[in-house]
Amino acid sequence: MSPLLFYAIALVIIVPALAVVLSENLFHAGLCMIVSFLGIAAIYATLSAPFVAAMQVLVYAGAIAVILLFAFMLTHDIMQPQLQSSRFQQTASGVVCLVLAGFLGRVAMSSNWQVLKSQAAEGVPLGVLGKSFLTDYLVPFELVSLLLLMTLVGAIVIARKEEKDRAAWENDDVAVKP
Amino acid sequence: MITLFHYLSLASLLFCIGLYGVLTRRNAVAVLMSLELMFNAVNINLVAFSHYRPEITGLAFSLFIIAVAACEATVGVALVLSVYRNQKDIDLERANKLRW
Repeated sequence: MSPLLFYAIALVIIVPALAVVLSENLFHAGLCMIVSFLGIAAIYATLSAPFVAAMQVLVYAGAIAVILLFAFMLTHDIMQPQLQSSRFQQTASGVVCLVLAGFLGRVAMSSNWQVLKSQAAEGVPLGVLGKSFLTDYLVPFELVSLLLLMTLVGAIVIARKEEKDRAAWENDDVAVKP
Repeated sequence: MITLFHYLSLASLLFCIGLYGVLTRRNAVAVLMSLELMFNAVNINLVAFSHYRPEITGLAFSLFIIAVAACEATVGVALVLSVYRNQKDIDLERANKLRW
């Protein structure tokens, strides 16, 4: 693939990602996160993994982004300014992240990656992937379905109002009303 | 010529950006967003390895990670809503009680 395309996609990923962690307005941060996810889907497409790219768009840019934006709008007044962490914490975190990035880059550069020449440009056929899910990865595949079910039930249990909470809230409402 | 190294450095950059967000944000939803960026960085690594060493393991694991990340976001949002109900905001500096 051409370097120009790669750097363009990398820009589409990195700049919105910076906006996600730095933006004052959290709603803008959420929208930038969607752009970043779409850029990552483009990276998967260039890595000859079209199915993963499609899942990225469906699950990340679709479901997870919507869930997070909903949570943000349910819990936060958009007009309110964001609480910032202390200057010291920001500086220390920046130093930690820069050191880690330098370290990871150094490891990636100095390692002797045994690259096999990809014989097929279109990558792994989707049928092979599907067969492996029902043979080699059957147990993890079934466990993921169990995990999804547990998440569904668990999220409802955690997020639901308890009965005595509800009674307290209703009393509050009554007390607030003149 | 784009090599494996380019993808790995892109992923590590994205991971560190996400880490910065996790360390500095005080809003719980913003921390979850940064966490998703870190998940994605790991996923880029797996898919890149599976591209340069044509094996199926990297692709399969990246799909599992996407499924687990969906679960994580759902449970995280449920916890955030629960904290919000008890404390009336989601400032993580104040969310330091194990029970009320």
